[in-house]
Amino acid sequence: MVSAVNNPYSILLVDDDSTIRENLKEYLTHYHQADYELTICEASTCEDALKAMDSQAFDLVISDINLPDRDGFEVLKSAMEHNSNIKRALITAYDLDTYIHLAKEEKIYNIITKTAPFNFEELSNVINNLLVPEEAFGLDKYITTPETFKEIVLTSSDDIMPAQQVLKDFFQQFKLPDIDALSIVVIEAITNAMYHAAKNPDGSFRYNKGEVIEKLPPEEYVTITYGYDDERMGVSIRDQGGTMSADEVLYWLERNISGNSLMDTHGRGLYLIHRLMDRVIINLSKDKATEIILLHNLTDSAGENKPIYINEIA
Amino acid sequence: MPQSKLQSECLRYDSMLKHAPLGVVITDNVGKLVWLNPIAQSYLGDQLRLGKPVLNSKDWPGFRALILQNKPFYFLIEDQGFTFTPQALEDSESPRTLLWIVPSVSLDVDLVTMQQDLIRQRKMANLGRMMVEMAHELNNPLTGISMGTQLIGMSTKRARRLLQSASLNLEAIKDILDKIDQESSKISSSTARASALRQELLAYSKPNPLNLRPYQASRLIETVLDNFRNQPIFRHMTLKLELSDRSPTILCDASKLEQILYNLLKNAHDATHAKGQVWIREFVDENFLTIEVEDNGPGIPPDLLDKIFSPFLTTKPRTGTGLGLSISQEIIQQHGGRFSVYNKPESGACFKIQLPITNQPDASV
Repeated sequence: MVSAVNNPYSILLVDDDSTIRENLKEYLTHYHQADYELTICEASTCEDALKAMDSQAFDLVISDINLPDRDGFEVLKSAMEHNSNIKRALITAYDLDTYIHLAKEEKIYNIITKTAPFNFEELSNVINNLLVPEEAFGLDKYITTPETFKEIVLTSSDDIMPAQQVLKDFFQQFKLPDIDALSIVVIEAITNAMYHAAKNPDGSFRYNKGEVIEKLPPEEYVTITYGYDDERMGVSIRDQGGTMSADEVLYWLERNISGNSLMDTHGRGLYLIHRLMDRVIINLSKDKATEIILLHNLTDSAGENKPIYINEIA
Repeated sequence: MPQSKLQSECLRYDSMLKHAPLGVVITDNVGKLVWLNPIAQSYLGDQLRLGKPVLNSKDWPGFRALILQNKPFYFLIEDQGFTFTPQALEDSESPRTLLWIVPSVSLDVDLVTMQQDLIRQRKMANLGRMMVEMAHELNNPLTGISMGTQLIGMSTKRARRLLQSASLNLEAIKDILDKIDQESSKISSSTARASALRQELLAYSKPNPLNLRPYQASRLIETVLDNFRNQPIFRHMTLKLELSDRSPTILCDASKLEQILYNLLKNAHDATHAKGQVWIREFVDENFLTIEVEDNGPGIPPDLLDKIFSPFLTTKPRTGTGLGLSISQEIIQQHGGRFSVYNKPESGACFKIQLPITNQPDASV
């Protein structure tokens, strides 16, 4: 740990269940591993949260949705009014599908899963990614044994099909359900990375889908990393373009979740990945990189929720 | 017979029928109401109109047969089952009319059972929706338990590391043990909450037949309250009882009524921080006994008033399951009664239990 810390990051935790709130605080105070300090404030109602924000500046606000007086979206909305740079997350038992519409309206990119068994590690990931978004990139942030990692670098469109086979074998190894669907969907993600990352100066895509790309320039290579540890397996698909924004991700997801987009080719791959995998992390670094990380739990401890976390570096 | 004699004779019969302690009804041969006396009117309700059929034409022949055979008849008013046995007095002079008398009307227990089945069916239909709510209600205690057990694991790991480092830092070890104690007690309370939810849900879904017996209302209320007065939880509460001096008999399941009153007193206890005043009042009108339970707490938040009987609504998130009032309402409705609440203008909540009066004698005497 670095001892010469800057100002510690301050977090406001809003939940009316004191057990949950105190446990979150206990964990974050003693077990959240990072090279910065955290100070944690608590509030049990929307009103208390607003008062706390009036009297102190926070770096991050995490709120439950069901509060006794108003709902957590109000807290997060008001957090934005206090400080437009503030980071925000919801913590709730409800899944993304229930709240996608409000999440899109209010630009909430992270909904932390509050179910049993509770995943503290995931909480640490989400909080760290919100506070230091640069650290969200890389499969090693989510899978603890990098020695299992393998990498495929795609340099032409001919590399897509062999990559699909490799990933299919990898999924097979863990006896994942719906492997055929999964490998098709993963191909869609890889194709997107290859064909939609590079843009012409006028904003149009440099390549058309289906077109043969004989040789990508090195700055357009697509990298796939995959690996596993005792808890989960994961795949990262990363391009060097970064053309999508967090708002667009939520826009396409909402269209798909609400069933308005059977004919959309956009967003469908993302939506299906969300359906098939336990956790999806989307890292966006404008004009530099887009990374989609797919995680699947290998133990029974997975909850029903299938969260999507979106990190955006401006 | 001279005209005037006839007239006075007519008046005499008219007056006798009007004031007879029996319900008297005259219908024509298709079941239209020709005449009825005030008692019959009070038994059979206001829906009977002169010149209008007492029953629809399809049911009339069957009903007429029942009257002629002096068989009991069941009917429903506002979801409540009643029974009476009409007796026919065939008027030989005008075979086209039927004069029948209604000796008395009583709340019918068999029909109440049928009604319970209906309530249960409705309840089961609600159960699907309730299960979803329940799943959400269970989430927080379960998450609390999950977090607590993991944090205990992390604490013991920390303790082991300390022990391994062989530096006997007693303060640090004490701190870890304190953390473990705190987490264990949080786990216990989360477990208790999850378990209470489970039990109440079972109670809600279980068929719960009433053990109905006639009681003199004020005697029953007094007995129940005497039990409560001795309980430590109500030690600092002032319970004031105002009974009616013409207390009627009610058909009631005493243990269920006790459960409801306990729940109301417990709510008053929580609302007044264990040291409030509660007035328990008994009122009587023609058909109903009313028990009012009023406290001097802050009253019910106005936005909750109209949904206070919904399952899982609670103002006490740490201790309540939000099922108490909903179950109480269920029980009172099973009795053919009504349960309502309002806030007193000067603050304080007032719950109102209304139970139908019976004319059976108190069996407990």
